[in-house]
Amino acid sequence: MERQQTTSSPTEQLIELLDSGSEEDLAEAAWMLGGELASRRHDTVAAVRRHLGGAAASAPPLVRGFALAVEQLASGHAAAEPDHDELAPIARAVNLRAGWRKVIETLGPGPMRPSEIAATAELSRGRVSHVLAALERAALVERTRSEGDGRERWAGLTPLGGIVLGELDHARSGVAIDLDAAVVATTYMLAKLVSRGRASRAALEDALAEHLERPAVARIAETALRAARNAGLAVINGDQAVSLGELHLRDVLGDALEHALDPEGPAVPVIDLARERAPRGGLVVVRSESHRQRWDIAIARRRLDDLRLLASADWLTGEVDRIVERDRPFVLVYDSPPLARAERATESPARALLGRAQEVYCYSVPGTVLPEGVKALEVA
Amino acid sequence: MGRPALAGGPMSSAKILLPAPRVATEQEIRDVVVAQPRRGLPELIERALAASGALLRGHFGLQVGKHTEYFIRFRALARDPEVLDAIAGHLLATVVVPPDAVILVPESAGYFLGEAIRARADSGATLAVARTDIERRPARSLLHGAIPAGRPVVVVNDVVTTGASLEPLLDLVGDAGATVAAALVFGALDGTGFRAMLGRRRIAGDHLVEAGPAWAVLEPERCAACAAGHLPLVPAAELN
Repeated sequence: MERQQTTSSPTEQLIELLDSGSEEDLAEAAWMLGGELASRRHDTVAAVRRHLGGAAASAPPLVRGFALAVEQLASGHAAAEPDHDELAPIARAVNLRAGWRKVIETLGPGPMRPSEIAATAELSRGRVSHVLAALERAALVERTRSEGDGRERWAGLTPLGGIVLGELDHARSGVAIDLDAAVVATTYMLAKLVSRGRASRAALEDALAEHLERPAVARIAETALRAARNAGLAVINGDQAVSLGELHLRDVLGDALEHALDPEGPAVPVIDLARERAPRGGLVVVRSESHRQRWDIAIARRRLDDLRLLASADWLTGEVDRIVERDRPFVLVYDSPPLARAERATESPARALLGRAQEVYCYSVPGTVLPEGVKALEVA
Repeated sequence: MGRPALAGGPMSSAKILLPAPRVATEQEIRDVVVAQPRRGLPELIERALAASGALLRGHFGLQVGKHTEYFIRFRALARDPEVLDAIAGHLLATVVVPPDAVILVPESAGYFLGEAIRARADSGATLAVARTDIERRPARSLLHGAIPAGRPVVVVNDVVTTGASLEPLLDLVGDAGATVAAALVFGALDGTGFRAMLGRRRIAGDHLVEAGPAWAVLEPERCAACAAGHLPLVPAAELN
């Protein structure tokens, strides 16, 4: 929505938007409130909550739904505490990765072109591109096309990225993100759905429909999804969502496997974590989809004869019995919690294999909810 | 290589409407895969494809945007070390790998062919692995290894259509200030297009198999399976 530049305070602007009653203004208000939350401007959030509390009875349905979402989230704040753990891996990731940290610190003064980031941070263009993609997925950086040159994409910190930058020195214990308020009510629902492995736009809309009138659901869901990214809780692609913890896990495994491509390099603890579970004289069967090429190559280059990779196409070409020898004991190791959840929950060729495995493990970050019977191989 | 038109061609709609991929039969292997006429090669390919189940029949979307009825899952072939070594031997029959060469492969099933060529050449060549992007296409950056400036580079991949997917690898060689000594692939579905790409780039290269006339590689709008409402498996590279 086009809005004239005013000198009024954010609180006044928000209240004006909420009072207009239009869907567009409500969406903009939700977006603004998300920014206020991410920037920890508690006074604004508290003022909006007071305003919504007083207006609920006579307000249009959309505003009532918005107010309900705000209050539900605020009251659910205590229950949402465990989800803060989802953010800790991001802080650790930033602190542990020199590339991430350099890029975030470089972007502190403001958005830049990738070439400028590379020159300032003393990183290669390829590395900057890789790091920016990871930071964008983690909702720490956003990229926009240059107005002058559409091919050029500027990168800048998101509000969450700004908070991480401000707290890098304290990030060992995790970034304290304030979840107290507003649109985060629906984001909270989303986070819960993510933790149960059934987050999708459809599931979120069903959850919201229990509290909101149907016409309001789509708009609120859209706003919540944007807020979720802004708050760093979840990333939604199409109809699937993964938590940032799981994205971090992918990065950790990807990096570990990358190191394993050097056959002369030192041991890779993340891989040894799985190998230590091998039964005597038996195998560790790694069940992977997203990293399968890298597992495949790393196993070959390191000659990790006690590891076998199993990808879904192996069932198609009948290779499972060649990969998982009938007469050798084995444990199954998933490298992705969503994959473990999916294959435990639904009929798939993997189900028969699960029954033959001595144990079933899954790589995960602390706090990840895994299906019953699946043991965690925790990585930081 | 000529492409059959759907109407009145060998690809009748009754023949291609396959809802799920399956392993191709031995007859289908003989019908659609054309091996170069070199001593022992056609027999090797037919035997290896049949034993490994690497040739799949279904409805596949290729990274170049075209659709096809067959897909070679090279990883399944490569699991047999003897077959892999024999394939490397056939490719090395026409190309010499210089002693100081770098063998550049993508982070895909093509790695296994590159490693087999490196081992078979026994020339002291080193291996470099390029990243793949989210759609499993080779990217223009290195995941592992190095390409020192001025060194000859042999670019290797498993199966391509015209070789367009090799472009990022060839560009990567140029970025490093090195020179492409050769491009070797197991299969080039469009052998004519692959040879034309090599000619345009003025580089040596070779491939062992290509799609025969009964193996159509079509634009989606000409794909009968799509017209019948079957969704393709996209990208088929997910199978590797």
